[in-house]
Amino acid sequence: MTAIPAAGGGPITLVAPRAVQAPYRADGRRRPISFWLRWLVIVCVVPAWAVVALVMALSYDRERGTLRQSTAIMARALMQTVDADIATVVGALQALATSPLLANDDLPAFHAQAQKLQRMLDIGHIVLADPSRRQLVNTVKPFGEPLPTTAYSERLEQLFVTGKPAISDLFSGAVVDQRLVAVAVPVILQGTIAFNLGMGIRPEHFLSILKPQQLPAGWVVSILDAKGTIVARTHDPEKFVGRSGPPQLLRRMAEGSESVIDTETQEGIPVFAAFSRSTFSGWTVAIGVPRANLTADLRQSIWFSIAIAATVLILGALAANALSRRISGSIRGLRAPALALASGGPLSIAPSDTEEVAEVGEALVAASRLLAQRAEDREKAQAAEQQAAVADRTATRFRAFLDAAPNAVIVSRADGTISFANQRASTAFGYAASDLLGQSIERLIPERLRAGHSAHLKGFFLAPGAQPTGTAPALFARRKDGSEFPAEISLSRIELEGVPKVMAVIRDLTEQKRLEAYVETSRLQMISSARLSALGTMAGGIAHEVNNPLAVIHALASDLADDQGGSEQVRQDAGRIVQYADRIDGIVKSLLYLARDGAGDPFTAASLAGIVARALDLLAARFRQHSVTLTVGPIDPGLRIVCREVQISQIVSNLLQNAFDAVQEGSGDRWVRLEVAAEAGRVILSVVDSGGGVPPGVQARIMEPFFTTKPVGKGTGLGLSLSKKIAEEHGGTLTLGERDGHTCFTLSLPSRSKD
Amino acid sequence: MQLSDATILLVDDEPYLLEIFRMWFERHARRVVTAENGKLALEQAAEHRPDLIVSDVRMPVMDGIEMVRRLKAAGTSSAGIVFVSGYTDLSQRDCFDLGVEAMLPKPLRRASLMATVQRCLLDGEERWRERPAEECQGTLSARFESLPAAQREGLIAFGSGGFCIRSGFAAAPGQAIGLDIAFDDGGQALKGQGIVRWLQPGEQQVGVEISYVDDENRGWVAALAARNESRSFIPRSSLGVQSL
Repeated sequence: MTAIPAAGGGPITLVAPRAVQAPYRADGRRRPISFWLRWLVIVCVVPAWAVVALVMALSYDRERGTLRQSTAIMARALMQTVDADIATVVGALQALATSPLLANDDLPAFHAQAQKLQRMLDIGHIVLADPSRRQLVNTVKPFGEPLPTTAYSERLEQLFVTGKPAISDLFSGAVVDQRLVAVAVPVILQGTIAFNLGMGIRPEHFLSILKPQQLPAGWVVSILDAKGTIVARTHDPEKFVGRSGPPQLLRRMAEGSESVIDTETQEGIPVFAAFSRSTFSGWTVAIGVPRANLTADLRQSIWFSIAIAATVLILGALAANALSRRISGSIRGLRAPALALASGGPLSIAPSDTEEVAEVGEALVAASRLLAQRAEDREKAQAAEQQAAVADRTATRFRAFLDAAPNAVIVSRADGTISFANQRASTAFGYAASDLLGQSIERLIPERLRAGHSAHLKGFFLAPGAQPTGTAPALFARRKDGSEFPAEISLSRIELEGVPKVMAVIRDLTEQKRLEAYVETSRLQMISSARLSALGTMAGGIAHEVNNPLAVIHALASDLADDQGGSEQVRQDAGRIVQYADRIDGIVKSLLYLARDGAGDPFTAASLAGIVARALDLLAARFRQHSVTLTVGPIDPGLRIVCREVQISQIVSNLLQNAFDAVQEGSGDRWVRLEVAAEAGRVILSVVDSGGGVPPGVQARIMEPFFTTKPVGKGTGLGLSLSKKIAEEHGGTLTLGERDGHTCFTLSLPSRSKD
Repeated sequence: MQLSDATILLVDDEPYLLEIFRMWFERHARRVVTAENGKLALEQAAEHRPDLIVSDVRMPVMDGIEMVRRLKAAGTSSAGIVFVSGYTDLSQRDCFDLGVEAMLPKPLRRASLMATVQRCLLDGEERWRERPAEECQGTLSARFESLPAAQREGLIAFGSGGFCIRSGFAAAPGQAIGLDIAFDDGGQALKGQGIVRWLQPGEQQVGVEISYVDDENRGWVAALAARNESRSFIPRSSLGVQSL
């Protein structure tokens, strides 16, 4: 116990400051100031950019709306122009219809007058026809030439019913080989409609109305008649005139007189189309504006905006870089002073034009002064603390060593009071951690051993020249709950601060004893197995040698016994020989059987009577020879147990053998009794002998693996400990008891009654 | 075949015993031949083509095991084998697998020897016609999808006189048991009675000798036994052909 190291002896070594490490963010990544400034630029520019994009989108929408509206207006205006043109023709025709030449039936003169009007308008030719469609005058032909019936549709026929001017759809002329549109007015003579006066107009005429309108390139304007057939078209008229308009347009036209829709032109160009239908003529003007025109403008605006935004962003980034260099330069200037602060050297701070940096610089100077002051204070305090810590650590270490020791350690004074107990001592004896301190060590010793211990302890202290170490006589120790455990106790005398004490080291032997018992059982099992194996080999040899001659004897004798020609006496004797040969055969078979190691056999249902008979086969002769009376109680021949038959036979034979040995020592009447009883699912087999019983000291231990009362080499068979183990493997028990003052071994096994 | 039509080869190194056996058989068999060891027995077998061989196991020059092994390997003799032995450390499992049909201990009674020999001479159809008087202890029941499937999966293997089945069935060797082994596919079944010859609980293997088959299935079972390729009486494993 003198191993406590001297405290505070060595020089105090201060740990050198570690290399300066910048604090890390949780993810360990650092960013320069320029990074954050660039972020600032992005944060400022991007929302502005988003607003611009939004405004652009809105203006696009508005522009689109405006364009659609103005296109619709234009469509209406164009329709009105067309209407006005037709109205002019109607007016001219109506004027001609009132010509007195018609009333006078002077058709040649009328022909000349009509030709004059035709020349003046120069948009088509004039035809006069009667209600039966017969052409009377046609300005294309000289008067008097034969004329066909008119070709125009029934739409113009209405005129004879309504008496109002009418406009036809596109049709092919009867005289002029061309597509035409006809405008006609009624000629009323004496209150009735006598003729119709019409003008066949070439579709090109309407094209000429559209031409001067100065439409933007790409815009397509079509004029459609009441049936939806294209009469005129600004683009490719020769290809499309006479065809039907786009189906989508026709569908919408049927729904209303004016609208703006998204559709495709005949050429497949995506457009939005505005159309307007005239109530006067039933015709429609449609204007198609390519959607590409509109989006082209938008795209241009977008590119322009992107260019501006990018420029602003780049300029912002450059500015951010320049600023960040300036700021970080200032901050980095504090690096050297901060390091100097840690090492305790003098500080020199460069002046900075950034206010915050300058403030930190001043703070560093102040900190430097404070640190120097504190270091001085700490050095003084540390020296004091360290001295205390060394003492404390030594005590803790000492305790830890003893707590870690594999055995219980207890230190007591000369009067037996415990002054120290390690943790294992508390657990081994079942006490709480500090409960042992101050207790008398006697509490840890079983009462029956206390007297001896007390004397021994006294002697241990007083005996002059006594050994400094010794072993206490106690082989058992006592736990708090009164239970005992086998222990090995070694004592050492120590002197702590001038007081003599005893240190006891107590080793709990419970586990060791258990292990030893296990090893011993295994050893016995192996010995038994080896013995049985050797016995088996020998028995096999005997069987072979005996059985061959026995077979001859048996066969000859049985032939004689069966020989009807022989004398009665011979047959009787021969029968007896057969009987005895059978008995020898039975004994040999039992010997072979019992010499087997049945530990690996399967469990089968076996007759208990058979098991007992087999044991008796081998032992009955010996009992007779030594005048020991062997009585076997009645056994139900149907009684069966599920077991390893060989092993149970071996137990029974072992119990009989033990009983035989036991009665040898006694005098007077020598007997052994074997009884079998069946009760409540168990079979009880008892072997009682006339011996004097087992002494009480032996009773408790007779089944232990190490125990034998027989001289070395005399023990045969399994031995009681193995018999007990086998019984337990069968779910049964083997116990020692007493019956009427005699020794009684009882084997109890689970039974299975005969099915 | 009846004993009166049969040629019997007797093998034993004990000359008196051989003489007694010869006397016993000469009264009933058509012809009796003897040999004093396995080697001589092989020569006699080649010459006289016996229908059945009754042999000792432990003999000088060549023992019974070696003799049977050579006889089976040569494939020239179809004689049944009955072992008669004072003591053998050979397991029943190995002997039946080798093709031995019965094992009798010495000493033995004439009646039991004659009965065993007569039974071994009968073919399956006749041998399994009479239900034995012994009382059955339990019934070994099994149900398989089909015989080929059960054989392929190593669940059952047939020999000429019995079968080895993968089962945890518990019984004492020598015990008579009922048999109820059904094969679903063809409606065939092995229903009757048998004798447990050996058990190996660790391997879950049981060797059973068939002693009786009911009228309905006898023909099928006899054909199955006659087809026996392993030449075993009871195969040593349900996994199929494995020789000692």
